[in-house]
Amino acid sequence: MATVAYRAPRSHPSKEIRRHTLIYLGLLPFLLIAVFPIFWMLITALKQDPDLYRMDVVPFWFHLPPTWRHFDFLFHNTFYKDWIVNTMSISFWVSAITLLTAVPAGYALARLRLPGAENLGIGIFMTYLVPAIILFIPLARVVSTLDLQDSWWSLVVVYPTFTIPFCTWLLMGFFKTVPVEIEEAAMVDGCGQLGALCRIVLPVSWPGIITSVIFSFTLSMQDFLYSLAFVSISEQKPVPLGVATELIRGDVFFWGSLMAGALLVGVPVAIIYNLFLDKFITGITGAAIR
Amino acid sequence: MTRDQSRWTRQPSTAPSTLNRRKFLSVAGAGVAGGSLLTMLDARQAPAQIRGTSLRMLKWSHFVPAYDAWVDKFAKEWGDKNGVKVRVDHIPHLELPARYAAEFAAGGGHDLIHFAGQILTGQYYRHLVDLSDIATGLGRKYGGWMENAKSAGQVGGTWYGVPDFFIAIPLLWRKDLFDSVGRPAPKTWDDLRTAARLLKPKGKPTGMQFSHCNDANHNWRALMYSFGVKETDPSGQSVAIDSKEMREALRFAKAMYDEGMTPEVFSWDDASDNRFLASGVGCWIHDAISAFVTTKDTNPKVFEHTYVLDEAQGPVAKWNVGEPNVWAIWKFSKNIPAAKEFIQHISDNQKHAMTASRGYNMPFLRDQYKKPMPVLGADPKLSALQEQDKITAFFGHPGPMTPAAQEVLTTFIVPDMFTRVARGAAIEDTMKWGVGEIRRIYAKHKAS
Repeated sequence: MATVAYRAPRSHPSKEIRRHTLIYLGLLPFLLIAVFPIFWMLITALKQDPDLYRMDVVPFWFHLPPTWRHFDFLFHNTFYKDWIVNTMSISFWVSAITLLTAVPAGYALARLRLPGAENLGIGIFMTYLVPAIILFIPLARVVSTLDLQDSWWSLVVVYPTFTIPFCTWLLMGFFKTVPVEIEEAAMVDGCGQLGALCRIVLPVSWPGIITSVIFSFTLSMQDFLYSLAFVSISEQKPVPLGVATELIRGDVFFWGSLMAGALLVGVPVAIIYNLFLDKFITGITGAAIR
Repeated sequence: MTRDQSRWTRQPSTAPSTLNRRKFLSVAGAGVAGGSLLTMLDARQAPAQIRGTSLRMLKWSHFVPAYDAWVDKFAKEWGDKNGVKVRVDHIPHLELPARYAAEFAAGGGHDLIHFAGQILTGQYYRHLVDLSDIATGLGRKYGGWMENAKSAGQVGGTWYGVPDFFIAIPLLWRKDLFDSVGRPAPKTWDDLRTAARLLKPKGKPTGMQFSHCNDANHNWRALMYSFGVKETDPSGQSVAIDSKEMREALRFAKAMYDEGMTPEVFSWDDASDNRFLASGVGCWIHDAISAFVTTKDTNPKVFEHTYVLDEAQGPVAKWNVGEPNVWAIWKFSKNIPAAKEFIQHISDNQKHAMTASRGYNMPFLRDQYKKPMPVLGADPKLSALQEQDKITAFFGHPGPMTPAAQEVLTTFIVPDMFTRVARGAAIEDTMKWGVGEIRRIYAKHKAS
């Protein structure tokens, strides 16, 4: 049997190298901007205090031997371990509550042809835009009524006020990208509305759900104002509040420990975030195209 | 009262050198009565009603971590002695107002609170417990309050807050650098400007924050008041900043910036001048002694050459602008009796508090300025701060710290005026803008 040899068009090697070089050169500034804060956190966390304050030398490297002292201080002189546990617990519960609420809400708004669903969706998203500095005062009464002041559970109650609107809006857009025909096919095969949602729509909406979880998780991890207003007990604080309130004393900043605290939480989250990067991009763009 | 306090308040003896029987009996009787009273006070027991209760208080995270450790231990020991379960929470002073807004909205929170820097007595006084009994008693016991203390604690003559301590913001200057350009120890703002002008070309400029931070509020006000500027009239009702003195202060600041500073001061925060001094670059800064104390660890060589001046003399006066700290109790506090007892107890132990704070906590009560003061009296570099009571003013000077003065402080209008001029804006345009903003704030508060 005669075979037809197909020769892929060959580009000139030097042209290819040039193309790649240009691409990487173009990316380099973005890479530097993205990586520099992490590099700075790392060397600050490992520098001795006198090394941090020297202005007569290049600050981007060590001029005295590196030290673990700041990490040691963080783990032995603060409630850092409690703060990590609190942060993860808060983020977990907030993500769970958000998913349980935003998935049915987003689906209903996208699929059930409710009168005014579009405007309702916009209205829900608008609540996300109300600044926390205005909301925390009325929410203080809610937290007090529930007797949750100075407990991290207060944040589990409060954070969904901004995660649910955003994720509902996000999932609403995403559900609209799922072809209605596959859902109808499932119903023809005997599924009810709920069965079609659980067996057909949710599995194909995986990127949107992952995106919602990432958003809920990271928004919960980033908050400062609500946690400041509702939690003042050291061992109940989440990481952002803990490091900022216990490692900044007036105009005295414990720079090494501050950076160590930020690094230990930020880097693992960034790695996990990157593992789901493709899904995240699909989720965002899937929601955005409708 | 502890033995230390009784020694602290001891007055010079006025007993006659010769005694007859009648005098002996009266003196002895008075001695026994006085001794009994002192013993009673020393063993001061809180009322039985607070036994078995709990007390939660909120303070800021002090510059000196050892002081927080001392307060926590002190409060626990007091609680153990009086059967009160005590908890002390600490957050940064700039975050306190948001927390208090939440507590006020919720109608619940800490039993005992602490205003630091931003004095909210005037804002919340309708919801605070009248503490006149404690404040008046402390005034009687310790030689009276500094005049400015009333502004921090009183509204309409009633004490809604009990002044705890204030933080002095003196001048920290490098003797070795001043020596290198043949300048003597600085005494006036002019001396400081001259030194900065000579040292900037040698890579050793000075710096004061032209930005939105606490230090900018203190530092420029110290300069203003020393130039004779009045923010308001003594009643605090009428704005008085529109004056030739203010224009002079702005002109001086502009010259000092041009001659002795670099543009980085426009991006400085409260910690920047600490780093500036610790790095060995700054020839002088205007900051709390935290910058001085921490340099001991971060740059011992700089620490060795750094000296402290209580404040620079201006053309009209010499005013240091301190950062007051005040105790207060919400009316919705669940344990008002225990909170009041604790204020009394810690105020009676101010000397220990000052020692624990490494000389940071300056007292508001006059008798507590008897020399040698704890820590300050033992350190030749800090001993100049032992008369800080005579030169300390607070924001709004010479008026009280009213809610309007508080809003002017927190909106950073004064630092913004200095920044505009330093960046090249005309003084008259700046005055028109700044005075307009301040008048608008005062008018709003009058109308409400």
